[in-house]
Amino acid sequence: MAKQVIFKEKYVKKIKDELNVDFYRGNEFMYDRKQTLMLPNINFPEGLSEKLNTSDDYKSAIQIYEAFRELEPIQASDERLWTYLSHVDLYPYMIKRWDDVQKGIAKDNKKFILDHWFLSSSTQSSLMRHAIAGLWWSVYLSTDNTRMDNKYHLTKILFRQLDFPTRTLGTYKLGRHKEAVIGILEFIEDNEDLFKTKFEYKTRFVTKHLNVIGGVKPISYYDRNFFKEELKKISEKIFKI
Amino acid sequence: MKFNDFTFPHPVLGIGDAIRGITGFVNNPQITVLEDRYKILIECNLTNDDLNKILQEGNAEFLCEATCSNTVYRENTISDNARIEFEVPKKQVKGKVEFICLLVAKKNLLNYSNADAHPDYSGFTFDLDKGDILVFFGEFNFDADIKYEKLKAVSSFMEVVGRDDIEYTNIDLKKSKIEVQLPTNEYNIYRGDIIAQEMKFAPIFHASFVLNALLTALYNFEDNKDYLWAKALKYRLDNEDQFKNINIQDKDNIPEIAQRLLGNPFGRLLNGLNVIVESTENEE
Repeated sequence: MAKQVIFKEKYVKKIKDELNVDFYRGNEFMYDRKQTLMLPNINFPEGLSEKLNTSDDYKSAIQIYEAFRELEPIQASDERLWTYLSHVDLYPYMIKRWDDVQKGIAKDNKKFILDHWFLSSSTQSSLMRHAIAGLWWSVYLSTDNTRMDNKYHLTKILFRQLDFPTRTLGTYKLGRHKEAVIGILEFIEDNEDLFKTKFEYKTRFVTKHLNVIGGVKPISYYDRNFFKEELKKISEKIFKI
Repeated sequence: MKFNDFTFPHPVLGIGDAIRGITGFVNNPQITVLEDRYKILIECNLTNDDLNKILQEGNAEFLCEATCSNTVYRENTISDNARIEFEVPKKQVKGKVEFICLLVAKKNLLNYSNADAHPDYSGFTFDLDKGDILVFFGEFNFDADIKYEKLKAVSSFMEVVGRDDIEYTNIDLKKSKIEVQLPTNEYNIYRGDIIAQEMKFAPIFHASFVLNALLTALYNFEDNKDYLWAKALKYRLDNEDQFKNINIQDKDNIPEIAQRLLGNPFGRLLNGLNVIVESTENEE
């Protein structure tokens, strides 16, 4: 079976430093095939790009996670992998999902490409914001293996609004604690009526509130029930948003 | 958690002067690098009588939280003992790995007070929830990108590369390793079999452009302290006995620090020249 390929580190820097917007207007990104390396323990997922759904981030995220479920966190935080995938294997998906440059409607073409095709650093927030890495990590953080029927049930709630995993919850320190993520998502699930409107504002409020608590309490000490209880205490405030 | 300038609603030992007494670690936390994991050993120092009593009654426990923002890693280790030992798998972390050590309430504690608390708390008691912080022992970190076991090798912090757009050798400090950039012609000579494969020439390189590059790096250490080469060198400066009494802040020390880091390059150069002369004579 073919193995997954990644860019060499220096090549990632080169295409970033010498970014040419025109290279992102075509249907294929032209790159130097000599500037790649093989990941010996990760199989190449055949036909992944075709399986992704440009109008459903949740479905795409599950496909990407399933295709690369063997990734260790250290590999899944490797800029070379995500840059390669967005420029080569998943480029057809990328130019359809993030088509502002192709359509000529991006305010700043270069910034748009840097924001979606590249990682600005290897920190958590940068990983979550990358167009492909963010999908993988969102599933990684929200998968609940205790749910035998559907371990991705909560992931679906997370993807109700893309900013929630990639800009809000996922980028906070809180997002590193799986029990916190699951607790928040279960609270939303249990209180659907509360989140029927203004989902984005309400989830932003909830995340900020728990993050403040994390300033004085050791968040990783608590299980999902603690977070649900804390949110129950502020139900009224959430309702009023 | 960042505890700087933070006021807790109840007295926490280790935060400002909320509670009188010594806290911290008995010795520096030990980080042992194993083949596929890091082994961490911490011994917390708890001398406060009231808190020791709470601990002995089973109402408090030690907590060490490990986080790594590069890999979204967050794990905690709980212990009833002040000596905490745990492992972090290498494949779970990259770059800076941070640790915070605490004593936390194991269950809800009603009417908590501490005889050594600051007079501001006098006459007050506090109802604490499970998980509330009682003691902050401290925090520390290490860099998982640094190959601690290979730090003695020059190649761990420096590399020589060729560049076709320069006429004179350049030293680039804005890279993960100190980069000695040679013009292509010189680089090709340097990489050629006759020179690159000859171990006897190593002291000559160390005493010439390697030492020069290292001096440049050390004189500009502060401006580049976030680069991996600087972190690797800092680790050696902080942990090797030979640097105990030599402070890098004093620029006069830098030539000696550089020579110590390279294992006396001038001495090795002269001995190396002797070897070359002797081997040449033998060949003749």
